[in-house]
Amino acid sequence: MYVRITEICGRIAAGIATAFCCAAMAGCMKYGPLPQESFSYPMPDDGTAEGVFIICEGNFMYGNASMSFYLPSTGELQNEIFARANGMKLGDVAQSMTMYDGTGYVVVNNSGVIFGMDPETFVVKRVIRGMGSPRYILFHGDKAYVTSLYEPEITVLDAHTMQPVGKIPTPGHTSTEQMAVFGDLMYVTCWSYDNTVLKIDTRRDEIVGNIEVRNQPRQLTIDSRGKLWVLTDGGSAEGGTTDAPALYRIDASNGTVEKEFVFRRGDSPKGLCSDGAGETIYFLNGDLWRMDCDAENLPDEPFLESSGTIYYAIGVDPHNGDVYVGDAVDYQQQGVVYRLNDSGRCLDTLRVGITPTAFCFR
Amino acid sequence: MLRTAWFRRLAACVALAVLQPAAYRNAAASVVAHYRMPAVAMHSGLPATCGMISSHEMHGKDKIPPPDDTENMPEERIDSVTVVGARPMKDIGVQKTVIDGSVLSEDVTLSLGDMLAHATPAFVRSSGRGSMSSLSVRGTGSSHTRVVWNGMSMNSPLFGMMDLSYIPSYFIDGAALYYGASSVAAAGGGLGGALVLDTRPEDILGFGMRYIQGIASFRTFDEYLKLSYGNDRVRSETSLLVTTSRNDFPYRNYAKKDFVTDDYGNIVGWSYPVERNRNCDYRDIHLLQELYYDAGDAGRFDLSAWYMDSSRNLPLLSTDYSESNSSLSSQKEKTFRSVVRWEKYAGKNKLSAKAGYHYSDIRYTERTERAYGEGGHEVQIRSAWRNYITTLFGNAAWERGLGRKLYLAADISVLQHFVYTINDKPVRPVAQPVVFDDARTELSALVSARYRPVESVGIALNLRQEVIGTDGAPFIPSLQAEWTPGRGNITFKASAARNYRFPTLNDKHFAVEPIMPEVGFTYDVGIVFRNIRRERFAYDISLTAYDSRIRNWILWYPDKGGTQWLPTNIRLVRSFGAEAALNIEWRMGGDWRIALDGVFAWTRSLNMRKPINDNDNAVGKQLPYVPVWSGAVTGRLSWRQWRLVYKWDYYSERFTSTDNSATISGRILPYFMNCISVGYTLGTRFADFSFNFKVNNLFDEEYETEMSRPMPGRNYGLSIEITPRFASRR
Repeated sequence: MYVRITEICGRIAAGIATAFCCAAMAGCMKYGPLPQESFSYPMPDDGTAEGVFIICEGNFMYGNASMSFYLPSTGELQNEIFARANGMKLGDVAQSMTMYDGTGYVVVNNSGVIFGMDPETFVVKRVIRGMGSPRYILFHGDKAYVTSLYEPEITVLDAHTMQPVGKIPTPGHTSTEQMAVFGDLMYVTCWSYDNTVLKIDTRRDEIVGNIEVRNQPRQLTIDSRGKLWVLTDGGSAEGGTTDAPALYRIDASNGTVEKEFVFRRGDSPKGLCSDGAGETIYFLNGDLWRMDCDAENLPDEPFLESSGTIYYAIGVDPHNGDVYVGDAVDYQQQGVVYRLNDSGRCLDTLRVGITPTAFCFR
Repeated sequence: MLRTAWFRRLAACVALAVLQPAAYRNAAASVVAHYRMPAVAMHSGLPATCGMISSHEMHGKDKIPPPDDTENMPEERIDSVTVVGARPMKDIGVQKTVIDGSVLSEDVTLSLGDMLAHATPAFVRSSGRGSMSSLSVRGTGSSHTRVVWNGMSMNSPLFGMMDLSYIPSYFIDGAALYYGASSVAAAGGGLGGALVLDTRPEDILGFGMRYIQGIASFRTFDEYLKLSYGNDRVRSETSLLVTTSRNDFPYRNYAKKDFVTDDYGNIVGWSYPVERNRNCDYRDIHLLQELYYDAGDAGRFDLSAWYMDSSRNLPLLSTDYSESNSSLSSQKEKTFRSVVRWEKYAGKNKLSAKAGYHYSDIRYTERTERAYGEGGHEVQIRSAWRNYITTLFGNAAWERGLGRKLYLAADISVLQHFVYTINDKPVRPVAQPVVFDDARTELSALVSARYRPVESVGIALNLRQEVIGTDGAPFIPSLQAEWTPGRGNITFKASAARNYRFPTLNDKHFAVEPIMPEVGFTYDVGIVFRNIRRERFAYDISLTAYDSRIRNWILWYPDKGGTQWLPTNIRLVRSFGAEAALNIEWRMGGDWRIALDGVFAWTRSLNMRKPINDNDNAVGKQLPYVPVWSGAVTGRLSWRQWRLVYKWDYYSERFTSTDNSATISGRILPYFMNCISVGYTLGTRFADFSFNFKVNNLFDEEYETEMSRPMPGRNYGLSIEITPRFASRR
């Protein structure tokens, strides 16, 4: 009996080991080229083009940034369109996307690259390299400007060839972030551990002034009244300051601060943007908030309350005013995007890539 | 009389801890009689050699002295001393894997992490040589395994874990991995387990020397030198290991494409580029000094002092497009560890004491290097972490056997940590440096009793009380039991424990909200088939199933878009699974011998947190980077002076996201690996020469073990070992 038991057990163990090895040998080593797919989402010339690109930054040092594409009219959602259309990865920490002259430019911060892609097929048309830690790209006239998280300069490119044609040194400011143009003036926030908004003359590509604000100015936008709105995040998240963050309304024609809306100490507002008409300002501060451009005080009630969500990004569709809010959930799983109408009703909920961080509308 | 004293100590060890019934003694003697290949002892606690009584000596002494007779034992000179204990009292119900010295010194190029990956069912997360290697036991995290070197904890008070890539397997003479509840006897806080490492004296008198030169692909060089001298009372061993590598292996990069553009910058063609691993060179220097002194009746004194100087660059991701402007990271570490041990047998008692000192200087730097036209060059430091850790250690222990049925032990340890950590961040002149200066005292006291009421049944109870600074005083109990019916080849085991792990100092300082200690409850059951013989075959099998629940699991999650990682408590993580280990030995006749060691694991480690919100898909999902299936097999074939070793391992798909989304970028694809080595030993009058040629990744597979970090294809290593003969005696 005893011998029998040991024999049976021995055979079982040998069987398990053999089956395990065979299964493992047969069912793995799929690493290799990513399968490539064809997409076609034409953009009619009659002004009815629609489609939202959702930029998901992924995790720092994972190389798992991704892009999703959403058609509001049909509710169709395509995830990982960059990898699927191009058979390659988007990179590490996708930061922003800008449409210009029929091309979508996606800035991938920690990969040090900008991809120019066809917004109808999602196929890469251009690859712009040679910049350290790029953050945003802005087109103005025949030039494109690229900011950087770590370099004390703004790179100037030829908007047609995308070849570098110059640099704008930003001495003392090693983090340049978002840009907005008013006439020939370009305003640039200096974000990381900084407190300055630079004023640059785009004709000469020189700094002609700066605006001192509270700690860590990050996003900015210009409304329909020619007012520059600048949002500082206070830097409390980085532990470097206890200064209360603020929202500024600035006369974009001369850079004069008109109004300072101060948040509570410890708040971390972010995601400033305006609607397509430039009449309403949106931002995140735990909840989603919005206010009229003429408002003299911060709103009392949020537009959308947080319910355990980590709202991370906002975008407002310039065509219909729908609001898109990105929820990072836990920063380590597929994020969620809520599409809201103007009254705050949720129209759709989308499961996208990790940490949706920016929206770009075709 | 060193050897005599050694025998006395071992005999006492046998008497104290190997209270075995007569039936098992016969089995032990038969094991002794046949040749034993270097092998990993069974996961379930097969008695890996803790020394071994030579067969011809042992045959005349089949009667093991009772524990209370050690004083009157005759002193006899014998040659090599190896003990095959059948079922030591100390190992009642214990689930562990023992790796003996012959396996650890098999390959100079391997770290302890590499060894454990092949020899145990634990998962070792690593992205190759020169990169961090962390141990995950039974689905837990790397900080849930306590690593103990000569009795002193190696876990960082800042990071909680020990990077196993910093431990060359050649510097360890004995390693044992204790699983789950079985770890309580070795250390507290090991929610996954405990890895116990020792240095031990070689059994050689006179001068000894061993020199190994290893040359491998990607300009990798390993130089190992060991000098030793010993007489009857004193022994000195000095080991030096220097490893350097450019590590710039080529790989086809499927994350990128090389585009061909026209004059207008438009893409007209593409290919996947063949790139080289960048910023990945490393240099490690290890120096180990061991001193052993037998003071006769005063006991035995041992000193182990280990200095390490490591400089490693951290490779760029495969998704990195930087050219002249490179974003580079590096880590430099200088660590000194030293432990002094005293051990004495006094009547029925074994007494021991230890004192230790540890100092680490760890620097992590992120920098950007820019090249400007005419030789201009600028280096920008973006992050500069400096960590200084000083630890003082003390320990006293007592063991005693009471009759043949009861064994008692007590142990008390104290660790005093002083840490200072700072990030200068010079790239942001206005930024405030992140800095903290802290200290922590950790006291741990253990009493344990092992009781064998009848020959076939054993019960062990461990009660550990810890005091962690002013933060808490957890009580950690564990209970183990075993039953060995019939002829003694089958043992049933079971164990259970409640365990705690306190937040590390980094957990404490970086947490946004107060961080709570982790509380674990674990139990396992197992069966061991030991020394089953069928004609020329002999095999051992162990099967284990376990279940554990860890409340308040501390998880570092990426916040602020992943640029900042912060600790938080997860409500509950449940781990359960099964492990199997198999050792087969086939004596083919003549000089041919074959041995096969295999380990297999099925691991479920589930995140059972409270949902963050309605869209949280992580609840009930496997924790990131923990494989559900894994296995490793090592085959050894020897014929006279030739030997062939074949290693195979497999890891199933691993998810990198908490929701286990099967996206392109959300998982590490499964892979298997094959390595082969051929060795030959040439003995001459003056020296032994050993040659070893190894092929890693035999089938030149392309794979990743971490996101965006490709691994090298087929690569080669050649080593030559020279052991002069100085007329030494064993």
